[in-house]
Amino acid sequence: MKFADKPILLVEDDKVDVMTVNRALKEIKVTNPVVNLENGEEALKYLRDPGNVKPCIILLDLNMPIMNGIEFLEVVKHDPLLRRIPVVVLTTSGEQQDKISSFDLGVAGYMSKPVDYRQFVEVMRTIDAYWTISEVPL
Amino acid sequence: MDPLKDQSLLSKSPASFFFIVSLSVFVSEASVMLLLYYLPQMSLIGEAIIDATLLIAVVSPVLYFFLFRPLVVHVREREQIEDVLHENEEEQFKVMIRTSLDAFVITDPDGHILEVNDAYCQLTGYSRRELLTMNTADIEVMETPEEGAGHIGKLFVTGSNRYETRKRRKDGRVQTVEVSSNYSKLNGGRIYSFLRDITERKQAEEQRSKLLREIESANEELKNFAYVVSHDLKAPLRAISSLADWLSTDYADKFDEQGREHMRLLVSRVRRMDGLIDGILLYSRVGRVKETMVAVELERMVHEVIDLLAPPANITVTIANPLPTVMAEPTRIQQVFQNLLSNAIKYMDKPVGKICIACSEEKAQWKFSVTDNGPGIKEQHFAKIFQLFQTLAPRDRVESSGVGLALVKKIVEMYGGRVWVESAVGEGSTFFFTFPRTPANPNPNPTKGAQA
Repeated sequence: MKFADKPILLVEDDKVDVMTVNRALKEIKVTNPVVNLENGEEALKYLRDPGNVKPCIILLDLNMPIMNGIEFLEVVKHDPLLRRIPVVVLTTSGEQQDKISSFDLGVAGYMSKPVDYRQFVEVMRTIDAYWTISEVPL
Repeated sequence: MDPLKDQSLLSKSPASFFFIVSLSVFVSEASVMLLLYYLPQMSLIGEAIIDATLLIAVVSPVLYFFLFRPLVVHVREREQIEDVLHENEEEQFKVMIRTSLDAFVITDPDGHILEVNDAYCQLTGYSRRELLTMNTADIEVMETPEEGAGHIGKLFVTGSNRYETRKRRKDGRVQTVEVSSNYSKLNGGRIYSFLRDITERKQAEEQRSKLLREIESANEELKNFAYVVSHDLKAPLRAISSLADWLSTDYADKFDEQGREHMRLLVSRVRRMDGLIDGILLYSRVGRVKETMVAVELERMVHEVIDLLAPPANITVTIANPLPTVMAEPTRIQQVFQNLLSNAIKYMDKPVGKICIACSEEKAQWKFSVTDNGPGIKEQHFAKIFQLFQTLAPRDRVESSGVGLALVKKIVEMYGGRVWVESAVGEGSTFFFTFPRTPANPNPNPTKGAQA
């Protein structure tokens, strides 16, 4: 990631998926702190708390309780203070409608979680590589 | 034929009529001459009076007998005939209405019943005597007075009206009837209505549409079910896969040979399940997710598919004759060829593998075939291989989800085509499928298709 000190916000409710992301990031030597929150509502609360450092990227699951990924995007992408934080969707859903809704709401990427852990590591490696090179208006 | 011609001499024979009139004029004029000859002292006025009197006396009876009387007689007779005909007609209508299977009722504009037929009595369960004291509103069920007024209002404006309404029989049973009414202004206003009991038809219609709704919702549910289930199964599967991977990495030194083998099997089964779930997703997506129909150049597409499958060096894939361009969803038609070809490659058991794609015209359809010189299939399995998750080789030997041919069948049938196999064990198989040359819109629920 471009800014090694800024946290990565991981909005994900599945414990093993959280472990997978953490492990994969560790394996590819990404040292950014990972903030994990279980649903969109909690993530919004975190993002709007002035005491918290804004994340350099948001990794977003779609299927979550209370406030799902798409609902979260609807709020974040209409908030002038939050809309420029890149959001990469990380989901099991290959449903066309989810892809359309996500891109309509300006996501920076849409990744399907592979079942194979090795492939998952590769997905994380690609995300990291991209967001290390890409400029961001932060 | 006009009866006038038989009655009046004028029309029957104008010449003789004029001859008779002329003769009578001549006779009267001759008599005047004779009178004048014997009475020479007559004045001119006297002459004229006698002349006119005689003329009238002779000509009038002639005109009367030969012209007017026959006419009068004729008109009278005609009136009589018409009366008889009219009575017959009325009688005919009465019989028609009496024997009609449809109920008939005459009411005044306020709905008071003035006349009914037997069918109306049967329809309502009341006797004629009872009905003649009643108002149609008494046997109307659901209609509010406004609704009834609406029917009648339309009737007064347009002269006729057709509508459905519900009637309560004397025994309380409610029935749906179709009413066809006509309004006549004669006799202070009369409404003539034919009624037909359509209760059974209505019930059958309702039952049918209810059934249809149920099937639709069940179908919808099934489609979503396949999707949701496979989607939700993926998350825990991913967790199992990750955890197994970490266990074998993190505790590599603690596993003995058997432990490592078990972990390997665990991971391979996870992959297999992942493949199955992907298969269900793929299968349920056909017909659920619609693509635009475009002209697909099969020649080019099949070459792309062959390149994609990259058959090993010992297998040659040939295209026997030029393939046509068809209207289809590109992904679907590609899936058909891809599955048939990958099966032929995957199961090839000969050192020199030969796969041949051919196409021929058959009436309104194209007939495609994919022939291989592989192991062949026993006839008893011809139907089974097209079912979802059915494979003939153990999965440990040939990794297969068992979705491919089921998918092919679903796609082909969705386009109104047919898929089948011919095979000789040991010599090879030929898979055939037909595809309409001018496809209608693909039917998302093929009747013969496997359910998913």
